[in-house]
Amino acid sequence: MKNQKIIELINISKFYPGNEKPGINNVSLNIQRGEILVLVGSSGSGKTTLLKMLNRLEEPTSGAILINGKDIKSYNVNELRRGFFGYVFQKIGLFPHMTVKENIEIVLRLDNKPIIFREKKVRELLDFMRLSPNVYGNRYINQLSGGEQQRVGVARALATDSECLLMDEPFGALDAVTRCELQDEILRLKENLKKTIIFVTHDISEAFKLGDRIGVMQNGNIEQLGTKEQLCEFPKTPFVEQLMRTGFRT
Amino acid sequence: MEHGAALQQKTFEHIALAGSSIFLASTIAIPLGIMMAHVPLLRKVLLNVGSISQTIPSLALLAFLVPFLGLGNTPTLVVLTFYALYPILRSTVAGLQSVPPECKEAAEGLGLSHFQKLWFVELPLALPIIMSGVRVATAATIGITTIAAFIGAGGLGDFITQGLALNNSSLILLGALPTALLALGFDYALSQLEIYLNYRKETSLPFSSLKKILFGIASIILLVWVGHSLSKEIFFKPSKSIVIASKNFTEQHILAELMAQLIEAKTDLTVIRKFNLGTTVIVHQALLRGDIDLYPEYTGTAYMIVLKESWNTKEKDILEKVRNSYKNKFNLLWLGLFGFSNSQALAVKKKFAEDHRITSLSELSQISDHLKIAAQPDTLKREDGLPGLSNAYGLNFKNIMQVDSNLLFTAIAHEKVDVIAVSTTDGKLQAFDLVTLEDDKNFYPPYQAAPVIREVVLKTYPELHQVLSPLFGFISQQKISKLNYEVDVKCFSPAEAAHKFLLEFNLL
Ligand SMILES: Nc1ncnc2c1ncn2[C@@H]1O[C@H](COP(=O)(O)OP(=O)(O)OP(=O)(O)O)[C@@H](O)[C@H]1O
Ligand SMILES: [Mg+2]
Repeated sequence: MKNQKIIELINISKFYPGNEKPGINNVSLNIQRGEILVLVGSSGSGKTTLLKMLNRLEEPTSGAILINGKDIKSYNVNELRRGFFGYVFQKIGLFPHMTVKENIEIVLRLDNKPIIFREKKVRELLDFMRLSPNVYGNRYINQLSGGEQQRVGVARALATDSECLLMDEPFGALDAVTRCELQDEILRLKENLKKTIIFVTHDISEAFKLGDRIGVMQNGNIEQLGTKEQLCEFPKTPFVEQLMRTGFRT
Repeated sequence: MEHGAALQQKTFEHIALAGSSIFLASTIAIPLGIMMAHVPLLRKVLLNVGSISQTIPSLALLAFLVPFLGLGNTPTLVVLTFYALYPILRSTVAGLQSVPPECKEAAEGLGLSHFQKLWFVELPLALPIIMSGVRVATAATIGITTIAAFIGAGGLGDFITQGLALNNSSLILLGALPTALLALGFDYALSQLEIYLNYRKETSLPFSSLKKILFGIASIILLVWVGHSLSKEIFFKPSKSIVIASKNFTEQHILAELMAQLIEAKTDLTVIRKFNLGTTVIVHQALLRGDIDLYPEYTGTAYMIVLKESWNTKEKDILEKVRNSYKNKFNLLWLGLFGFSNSQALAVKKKFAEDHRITSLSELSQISDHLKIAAQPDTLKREDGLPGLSNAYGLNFKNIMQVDSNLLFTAIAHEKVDVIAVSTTDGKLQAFDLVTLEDDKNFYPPYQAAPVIREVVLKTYPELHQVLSPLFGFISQQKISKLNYEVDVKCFSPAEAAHKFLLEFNLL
């Protein structure tokens, strides 16, 4: 079913305690099943906040979020986080007391998945992330480079085969070659496994490459939401226009 | 080495006491610390209360607990656990607070439950810091465990207090050195454990399952031992028995031994010795609880420390007062006086006294401005010590030296000083050929020694009065000094000295 709404945000606002300006300001948004929605925008514009609210790490101050047409609060929060979403955190958040392998399989272990299944999964994911399982599997996190850590973070998010991926700047620390390869892998994930992906980046060319639709955020608002053609040809605000131009330049 | 077996046993007791307190404290403090890390108000209150708790002197706390918990392991464990709580509590809170926020967020975001987050992420990351708190607590506890000796719970402190009591520095070392070694050893072991548990490990350390098993077995043995001795303490007491106690100095040991050996010889009662207890207050409380039945006490001490009366020099007979108050207030009986008084006094060389023709403190005051005196720090400070005495007699010494009790006699023997402050029954007075000067203005209260016994015990075993009566009025100033001399200078044990004495005077 194309164009079916998987996630729906209705008049979502988020005020952080102590902040006058809202982190998210009355945002409404539909996310289609199987699409990649890329969020771009300046620092502090509310991208991470939006992802966190989807995963219920933050609660909206007002408004409603529907998942498959049902209020997000009607789901068990941990089942939602484990089964429905996979989350790549902006700050990565790998556990330093566990090896790469243990980090990736933690949720599988808590779900009592058999060890053979876990081993296989970890190998697949490491291969997928261009990390040799034999070299990296038993390393601790402090023995990894920044980019390697980022890729382990992505592998961990993919471990549960969730329907929907929330990826907060997952490739920020990668070299151009690896980054390009992994972007191709993400596109393949979408094509083959029909995953819905919400992807945050500061890199406009990455947004253009991956995004079915791109949302431009500024000051807690979505300034414009559309395909890259729509954004380039009919920018609604000077900010969008400027962003598109700088994007082309890089 | 004659103390070998004892050393082994005391070390074991010491480890058992310290180890189980740390175990208890950890099982209380770590969960509490976890709660505190999540409840800011609780954290603030408990950390403040906890830091204040550390300032309570351990001996005071111990004395406070004796009325409720008696003597032995129970109050010791309570006190040790109490002191170990705070460092572990604080490190647990600090450890949990040190967990990187992005790790906590990732754990939540991945869908770990509160408990899973705590167990799989927060505690492992906090563990090195928690362990460092346990380490601090352990080192401190091994030190504090020496106070167990004050209430008869054993441990290496026994050697230290006995050494102090009997003026035997090698005994003190026998307790102090292993204590220090234990503290260092445990600190090292825990630091290894800390390294093993630290998530920042680069390569995994060898911590074989054999070592884990040994560690487990050792902890179990320890707990079983403590449980066993606790239950013995609570449930086991021979039917026909009497518990004789003493405080922690030579003369008390000797007097208690004299009574114990007489009772053993003349009755079929089993005598249980709880010697070397910490302070007058602890002994008195134990007596009130019935943990002990009989011990030697001094009228002046009872009057001022137990009854909290102040000494008035016009008071002639405090014995009657003490006797009545003890019977009415406590149901405790003072039996016959032994026949000597252990008071404070100033002593000079016999030759010096003869040369200057002085026998009393009033006479000494005439020439005191030419004289040098030495005394223990305690005597110099207390108002009922040298300052008060100087006031009463107008003493004004040329020079006052603060000297440890062991060195007092050496100081006067080598003529570094002319006068020393001593106890009137000190065995070394004879050895060094000294005489005490008469307290002709009654500045010091009389410290006449006598057995104190629980009324019910005497009612149950009325023969005790008869059995002990040969000692009443029999132990003169000279006899007790001689006995003290045998132990302090000639290094007989109190039991040997007492036995020789009883044989010598045909009392057995
Ligand atoms: N826990 C918080 N408490 C208070 N304010 C917060 C909190 N988290 C974010 N904010 C504020 O909310 C706003 C949006 O933050 P958010 O993290 O969503 O930005 P972002 O778009 O992800 O930025 P970046 O590109 O730098 O990651 C910012 O102004 C930020 O200061
Ligand atoms: Mg962000």
